[in-house]
Amino acid sequence: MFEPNVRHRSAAIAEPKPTPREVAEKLMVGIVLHDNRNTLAEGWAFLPHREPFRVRGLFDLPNDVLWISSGDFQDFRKLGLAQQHHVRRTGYLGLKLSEIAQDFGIRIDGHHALEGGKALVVYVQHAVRMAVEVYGLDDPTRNLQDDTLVATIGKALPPPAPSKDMLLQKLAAAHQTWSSNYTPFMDNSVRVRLRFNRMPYAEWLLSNPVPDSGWSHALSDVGFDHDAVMAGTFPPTLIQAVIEFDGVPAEVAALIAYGVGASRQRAKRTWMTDVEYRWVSRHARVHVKSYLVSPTSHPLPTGCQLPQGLSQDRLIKALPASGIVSYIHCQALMSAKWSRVSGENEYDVHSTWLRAHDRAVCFEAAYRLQQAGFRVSGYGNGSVIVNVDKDNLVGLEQAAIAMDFTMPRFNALLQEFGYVSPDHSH
Amino acid sequence: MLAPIIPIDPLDRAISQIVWRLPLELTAEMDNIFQLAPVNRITRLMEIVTAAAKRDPKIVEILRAPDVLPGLRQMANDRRAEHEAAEQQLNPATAV
Repeated sequence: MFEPNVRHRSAAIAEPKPTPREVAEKLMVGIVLHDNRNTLAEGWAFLPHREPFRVRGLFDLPNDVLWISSGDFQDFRKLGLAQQHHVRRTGYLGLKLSEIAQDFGIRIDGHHALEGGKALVVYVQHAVRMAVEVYGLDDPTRNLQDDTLVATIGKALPPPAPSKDMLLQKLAAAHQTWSSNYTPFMDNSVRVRLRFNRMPYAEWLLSNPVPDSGWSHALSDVGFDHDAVMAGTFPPTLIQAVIEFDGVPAEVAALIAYGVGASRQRAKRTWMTDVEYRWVSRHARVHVKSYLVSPTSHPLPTGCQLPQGLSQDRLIKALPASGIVSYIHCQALMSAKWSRVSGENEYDVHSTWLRAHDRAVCFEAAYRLQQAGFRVSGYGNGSVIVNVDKDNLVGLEQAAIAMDFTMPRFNALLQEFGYVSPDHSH
Repeated sequence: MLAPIIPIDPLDRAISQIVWRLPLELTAEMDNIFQLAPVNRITRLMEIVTAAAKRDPKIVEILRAPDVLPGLRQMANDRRAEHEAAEQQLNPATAV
């Protein structure tokens, strides 16, 4: 494991325990942008406020820094590279380095890497340091050993109540991380990921109630009250359903993307939460075959809410680094957890409901954008991807502002495509 | 006009819109306010916003929206008052 502060053992015992802030401030985080991700060899290494330097490969990286490489899991696996103790893959922060760069309007492709990397590394270090401080990760050499910061923060959160075996398959079948809608990419198009400001999005997501862990099973649709579910007065429900798209406009049916994600859904989508039922029923016919009902819902436990250090001060909440950390927090709650018992990834009730709220609100945004004439190619994780004509970028910016999307930084995007002034007036 | 998708306080919305319009070097400066005491954060924010507003008329437009500047001033006053109250508690001898 990387060693941020090597000290003599006796000296360490004599000194008072450093505060979380002192720990965070000593942690150095760097990024490596490889010239060719397929080789993970030569590239530029960046540390905040220092000149970038060339490396021949990951072995050249100093071991007193936590490095995040631009290579992803597939790139590392393809090359059979041994995992290095102080190097993490591009998705370390729950987002690829290229995704974070796009949100900020920083280019890191080709020759842009040299300038872009200098800017990007500052945000990356801010975010990791902030996470170390607000989650009280007092020993980075021990606490930051996971492949991702999502996994590390997941460990800092209270574990969810175990779900009964009969529930696990159903939760997996109700879970959908990303929703894809095939849209042909035109020559004149730009692919833009619109993203809600991560912090208010996280606060809203975590404010949604989650079901109690005691469930009753109905063997048919008897007792299922559609109107009460639509009004939100029916208790939390997990519904086995078949969706009928007859008569639904093709573009809306495709946008609903039931079970259509970026990668193949591991479990067939045969179940849905009442959250998903509500919005899907507005557009398509949903046949209920059976359902499970929980007696009540309650707020997400206090320990699962954002740490006070992030959420107490509205100015801190506005910081880009806070947004990244709050995103990681939500990902930690929504992602599957590995079970040693079953040997599989399992979804709990909290993760399934939070994910359903995420899909619901992202669909609403995607639907509004589609109605406004934009071509939506996917949505999820508080974002919507749109393929837009270059000539209509200003129109997309106006729609994004109206819908409270704060990312990407349109200034940079518009300048990249020839709009010269910061206010785009000429 | 359609209802907002995510409920956001208007002042938070304005601050967020400004932060994401800042030039990159100033956005990075913003992240540094995490290290400051609450009373100094708003001062630093205003310094950054003022510097950016000179270059970007859209930031001026956001600041001119109703309640944004008064809201920021109120926040600055509240923090100053909280800071002074805390100081007086720590050091009653300096209390007026």
